[in-house]
Amino acid sequence: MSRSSRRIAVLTGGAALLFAIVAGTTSCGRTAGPPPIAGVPERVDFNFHVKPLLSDRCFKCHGPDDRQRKGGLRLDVQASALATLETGHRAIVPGSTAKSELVRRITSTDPKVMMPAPDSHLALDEVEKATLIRWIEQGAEWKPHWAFIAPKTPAIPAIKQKDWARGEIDRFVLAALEAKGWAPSPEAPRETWLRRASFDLTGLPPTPAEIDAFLADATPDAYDRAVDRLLASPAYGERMAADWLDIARYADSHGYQDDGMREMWPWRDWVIGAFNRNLRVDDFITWQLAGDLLPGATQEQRIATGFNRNHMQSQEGGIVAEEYRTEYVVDRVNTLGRAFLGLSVECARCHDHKYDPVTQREFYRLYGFFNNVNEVGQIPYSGVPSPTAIVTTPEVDEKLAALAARIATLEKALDPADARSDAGFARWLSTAAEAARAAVAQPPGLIAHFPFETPHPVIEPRKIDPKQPAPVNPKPIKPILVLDNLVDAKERGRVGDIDRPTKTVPGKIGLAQQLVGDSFVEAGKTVALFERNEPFTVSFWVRVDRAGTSGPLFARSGGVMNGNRGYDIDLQADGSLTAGLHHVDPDNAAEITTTGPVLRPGAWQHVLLAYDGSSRTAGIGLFVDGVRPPTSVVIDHLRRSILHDGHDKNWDGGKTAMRFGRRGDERLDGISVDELRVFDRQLSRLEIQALAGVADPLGAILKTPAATRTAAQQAALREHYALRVDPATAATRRALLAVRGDENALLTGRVEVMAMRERAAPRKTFILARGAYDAPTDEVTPGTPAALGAFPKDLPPNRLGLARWLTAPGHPLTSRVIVNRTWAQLFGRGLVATPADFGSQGKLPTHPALLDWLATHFVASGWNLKALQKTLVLSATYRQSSIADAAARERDPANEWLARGPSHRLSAEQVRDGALAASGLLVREIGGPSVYPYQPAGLWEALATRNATTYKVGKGDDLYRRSLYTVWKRSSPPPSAISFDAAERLFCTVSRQRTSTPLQALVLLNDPQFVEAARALAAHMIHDAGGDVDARITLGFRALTGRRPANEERAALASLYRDELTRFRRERDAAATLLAVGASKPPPGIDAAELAAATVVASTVMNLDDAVTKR
Amino acid sequence: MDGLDDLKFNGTRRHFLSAASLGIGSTALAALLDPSILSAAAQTPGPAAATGGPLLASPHLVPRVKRVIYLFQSGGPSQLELFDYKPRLRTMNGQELPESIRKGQRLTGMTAHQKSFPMAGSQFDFARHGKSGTWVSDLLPHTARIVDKLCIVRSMHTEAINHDPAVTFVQTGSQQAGRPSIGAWLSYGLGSENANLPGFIVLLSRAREGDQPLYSWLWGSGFLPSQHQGVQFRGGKDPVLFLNDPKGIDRASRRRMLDALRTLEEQQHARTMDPEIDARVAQYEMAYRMQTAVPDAMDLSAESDAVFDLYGADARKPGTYAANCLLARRLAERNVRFIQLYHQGWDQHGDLPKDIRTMTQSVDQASAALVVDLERRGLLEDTLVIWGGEFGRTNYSQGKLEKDNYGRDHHPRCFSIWMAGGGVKRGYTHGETDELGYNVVRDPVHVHDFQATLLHLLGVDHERLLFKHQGRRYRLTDVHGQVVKDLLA
Repeated sequence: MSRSSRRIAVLTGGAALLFAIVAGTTSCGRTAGPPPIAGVPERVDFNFHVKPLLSDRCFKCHGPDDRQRKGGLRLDVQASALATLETGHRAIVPGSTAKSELVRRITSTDPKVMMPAPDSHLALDEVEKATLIRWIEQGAEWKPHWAFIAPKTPAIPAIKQKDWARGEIDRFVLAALEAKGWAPSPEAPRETWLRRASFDLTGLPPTPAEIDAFLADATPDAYDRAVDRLLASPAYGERMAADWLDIARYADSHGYQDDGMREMWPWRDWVIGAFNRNLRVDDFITWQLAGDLLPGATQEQRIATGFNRNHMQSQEGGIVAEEYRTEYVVDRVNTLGRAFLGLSVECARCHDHKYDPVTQREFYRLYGFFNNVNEVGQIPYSGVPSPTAIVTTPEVDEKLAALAARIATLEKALDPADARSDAGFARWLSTAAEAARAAVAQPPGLIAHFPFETPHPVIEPRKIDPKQPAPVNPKPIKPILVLDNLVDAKERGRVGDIDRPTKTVPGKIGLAQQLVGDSFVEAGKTVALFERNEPFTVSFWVRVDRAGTSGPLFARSGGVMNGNRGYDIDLQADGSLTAGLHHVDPDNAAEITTTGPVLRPGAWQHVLLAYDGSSRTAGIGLFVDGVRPPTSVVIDHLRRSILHDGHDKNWDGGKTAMRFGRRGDERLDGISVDELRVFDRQLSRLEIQALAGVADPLGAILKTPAATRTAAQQAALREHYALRVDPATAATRRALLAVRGDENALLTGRVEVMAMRERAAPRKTFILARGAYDAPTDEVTPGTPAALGAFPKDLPPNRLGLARWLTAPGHPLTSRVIVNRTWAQLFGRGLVATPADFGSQGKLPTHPALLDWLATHFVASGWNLKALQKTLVLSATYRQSSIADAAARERDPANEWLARGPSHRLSAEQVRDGALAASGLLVREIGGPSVYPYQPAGLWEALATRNATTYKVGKGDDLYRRSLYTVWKRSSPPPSAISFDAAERLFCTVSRQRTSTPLQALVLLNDPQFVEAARALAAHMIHDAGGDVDARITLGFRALTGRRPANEERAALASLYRDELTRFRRERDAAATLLAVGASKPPPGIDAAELAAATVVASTVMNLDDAVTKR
Repeated sequence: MDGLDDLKFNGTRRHFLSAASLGIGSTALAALLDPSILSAAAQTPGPAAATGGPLLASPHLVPRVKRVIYLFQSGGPSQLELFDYKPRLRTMNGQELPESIRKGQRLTGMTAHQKSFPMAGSQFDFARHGKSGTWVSDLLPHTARIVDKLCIVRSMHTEAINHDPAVTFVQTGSQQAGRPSIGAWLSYGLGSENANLPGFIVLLSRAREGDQPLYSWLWGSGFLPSQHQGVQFRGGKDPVLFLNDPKGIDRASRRRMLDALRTLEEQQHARTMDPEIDARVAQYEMAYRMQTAVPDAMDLSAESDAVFDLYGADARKPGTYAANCLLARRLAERNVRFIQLYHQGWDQHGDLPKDIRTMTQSVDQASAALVVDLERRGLLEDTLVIWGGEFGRTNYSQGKLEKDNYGRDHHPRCFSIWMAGGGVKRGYTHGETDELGYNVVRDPVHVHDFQATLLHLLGVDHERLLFKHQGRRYRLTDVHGQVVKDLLA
């Protein structure tokens, strides 16, 4: 017998024995019921015992994903699991372990037969196998996945112990404990509860005064009022926001390689405010997902949508923009999954989900909701990545309204057909003689004229930097190829690159410049830098030399890295043109495109851009050969400066010259250009026609008798009179220029945050093969996974509809996910221990009925978060002592069954804020730009090479603000926070880890922030407690731990104090050095040795378990 | 008391109890089952893993090395100027890259709009070196001298075409940030062999300013427990953040403080019976020992002049690449599992001839010295040294090609790295690119293959070092990767 066959023989016998044990059958015949086997439930429940095993070990090959399915077996659907397979076997035959192929497979050791297959590196242990076998024996009962069924208010369970429960929550908890024969713990001391509730609801410790008041309050509603006080504290919103920032992946930098800074703090402040005024949670969700789509959306609702722009965004030069935009949309879907659905939908990006009923198609239907934001994948170095919301105040809004009214009035006065100019027009018309007719061809306001004749080489003198030593062997200076400017010789143009020159060819007039390969033409560095309130005109001749060429024809813009800041004209491959003005593309811009081809290959054509200073597409006149071709609007939303350098300049915000054939890294060749003229005014149509080669356009109209002139001719005359002749209109234009300038300055100067705004023309969504941006397959429409209930037909198929679906009362997941997270905030662990995964692979709820009771009551309460939290912290369950003996810890190490109160290390924010609060250093100001507290020098510098390269430690109050205001740079986050398990904020994080490391000890012992806090607390100990050492220690101890020290604790600290005092009296210099830590100064009049010794004591207490742990 | 053991015990006790309470009683059934199945089950994450102890009770395979020194050359060193000799590219200098070679390869936004792609031969000469007769550039004279100790891979390839995704891919197996880095995986899988130093240490240097940045997620622990993240050691007097006692606190004072703390924690433990408190006490003791162990490891004053001569004059300047190489050797001596150097400055889009010389001068001698030094001390046989970046560079010039100047854009389809040490072949060159240095034509090695091989050398099966997160089992190589057997000695 070979070794392997012997093993099978042994096993076969063993497996038979296994069935016998599990199924309760022996050779003696049936017994009354299955014998108890430790770990194997007597009555096996599908959802609680079987589904987790099937999901974790079997679904990878036998789950929802069609493409991975082996042997045609699908175990996540009952009908398929019971069906006869191609092999003729049935995986599961209810009641029959002998006929069930599954049983044979999981008990086999033949590598070809056994399941899970050896190459999966998965295995079932004996208890798990026994559980599956017993389930089949008991009839293989099937149930739908618990989390996909809408919660119903459950009955309140009966309990035996009558004097413990304070409300429904406690009855659920107690019933579960009684079922196990366990009892709850005694109530925690009052001061323990107060500290617990204070940290949980405000993130801060109670002050000794608050503790005293609470201890002294003998009224029956003392707890009630304490909770009300905490919930009403503005610190409440900050504490709640701290957790939400992890979920919302909030940061003060963009992330990815360049990691430039961003200003999203107005969104963060909105979150704090929303919590503080207890905004209904369904509104909290809806505004963040779709506030911009609400009818009459307010500024606040638009700022709230910054939630889905908080994800990382890339500035890295050279990325494929669409690759990254795809990542952003995916991030929003993943965040939706983790934050609201409690599902890892991201698994379905590349293939159908392996464990949960989310197909790849459904993933992209969710993707469709977030795919229509008017954004680009490569965000600029200058300006806030659009779309945005400009943050104003009521005063600013008032000013803006006044400016808008003034602008409207002036614009009305500007109308060429305005009756007030009738008389002047008639007078001009009657005298419009030869001189006026000729003058049309010579429009005033010409500020540059490049005829583009043969360029000539010029040697520019070497720039000498007096700070640098003269180079030993300087490279020979290359000449530049100059193109003359007939208006201003100093503002000359040039062939952009002498090594890759343009070609001089016969032109429309004289010679012209032909763009070849990577050549380009630069036309003046400082001329024609127009702001969006300034009218201007750009005129040139162009010939398409190679059909199908496309790219930047003319640009006064640094390109993608600048958000295309400036203005430009693009040539499309079909000969159509796009012209636009941009603050940050694509949303903060005004852009039009011709509806069809307008340039023909081989012909010299005249192109002209005449702009009226209105910031509207209606004011962008794109002319080809003197006429306006039909155009459509791409975007009409220009709200801020189009100049290259503003307050929002980041790394690359420099000015770029006017260019033909190049914008940033983009190039255009296969065209010739000639006769560039720039005017600092909007030309009239007659002037434009003259530039386009129409002879005497004014005369042509004047020759027509007035009575027979067409409306167009009449309008052209009126327009020419208004733009060129009429002094009154000119005065109005000057006034308008100033008012529009004021408006621009006001808007451009405001803080601007990223927000959601839809594209006018919806972007199509496709399933992406393997999740890759460049592999679209089938087109899909926005929609939600079928397993979570149908998407109602009466909801709009957009983000607002999504939010309505998510917050509908019957949604199976949203309310459960929220109450579970709220529970975890207080108890340290959710009723579902995987708060971001309620799917097949997630943990099952320990108290499913309690979860549903909380969820349904929460919805019924109007999604009232504060009410929910109040109920929870007042419950007997929450009030229990967390002290537990070894036996209790052994039977329930993670406190899943809640036989004791919550206890865990405080969060990174709470540890720091607690120390600052206890020391009296904490500054309680709410909101505003992020701050730069102490950080060891050189951290940013060591990693960053551009953008924010230096961390400049702040001053004064900025050093002592709450931790959620500390600047968060994703590539170099605050080290103390990271040591204490703060999330990195790279993507949505629902729960943090809680580790214990030596680095934490180093932070608490040595970080100047904590040492200074210890010193500040020491000053209070000495100053406020008088000369008694024990009183001093008690004061410091209470401030940090919320309780009085026990005698032996006080004695140990007093002994330490005396030792240190002796030392510091001996070493006065050491005391002075220690006391010099930090920017704040110790109060005068305290003996340095005493203060130093007390500092050591305070620091020791700050490091105590009781100081950093919620008990 | 052995601090680390104590720490591990306390850290894991809670979880162990949890696991044991569920597992009791299963032994009877276990007897029925084949032992081989039991051992397969044992390789799913063990009880210690969740609280930071090593996941694997023992490695999957016989480890060839115990530790890794990864000399990461950030920015993408040009293989064409260093290891991949292409005389043909020189003779075709200035000619357009044929589309038959480029084959639609996607380009970065920096050269995607370029209208011409003139091929650029290396301006630096190559020669054969060592008994193996390996071609090495004149830019690397020291490396050339040890070429018989090296295992050079000229057929590396990747998918990313930009720095952030490419570096993140090499270090974490994913182009998107947030997965654990190699060092974190190893710390999680194999644990630390030094009770007083972190198991994953990061050292940074740069040879020139203004190049590509770095980001801390490259040594992050992702979803693994955060104690597995790399700890950055910095030049200067505070090599680990907050390592030094505050000024005015001396060692005696600190000891008294910790003793008082311990007394108080013991009383607290007696009250609450919370095992977490024991873990905290152990962490404070380890922190105290780190305060001695780290400066000791960082103190180069005991190194002989001969050692400094070997690594070069820069080794005396803290924070330089050379000093970091010497530090890496000292950390290897102390059994640190994963020592990750990053050296910035290799992104030669323009001015390549000048800048690459700056770069090679900053790394050549010290990199070679590290290999020699490790070998002399008998450490090379169980240490793996890796030298390489995130991708290669194009064979055509980015921007204009001048007589004495050119630049190269990022190139994912081929790049060169070398390894040295235990378990890898010596004097061996693997893989080959076409005569224009654009595509791999023989023995391609994907980044995931490289990662699988690296883990293999440490005794880890890359398909079995797993972590379940959000319901899914993750691994360094995602669902890809093959151990490159040809590289193994």
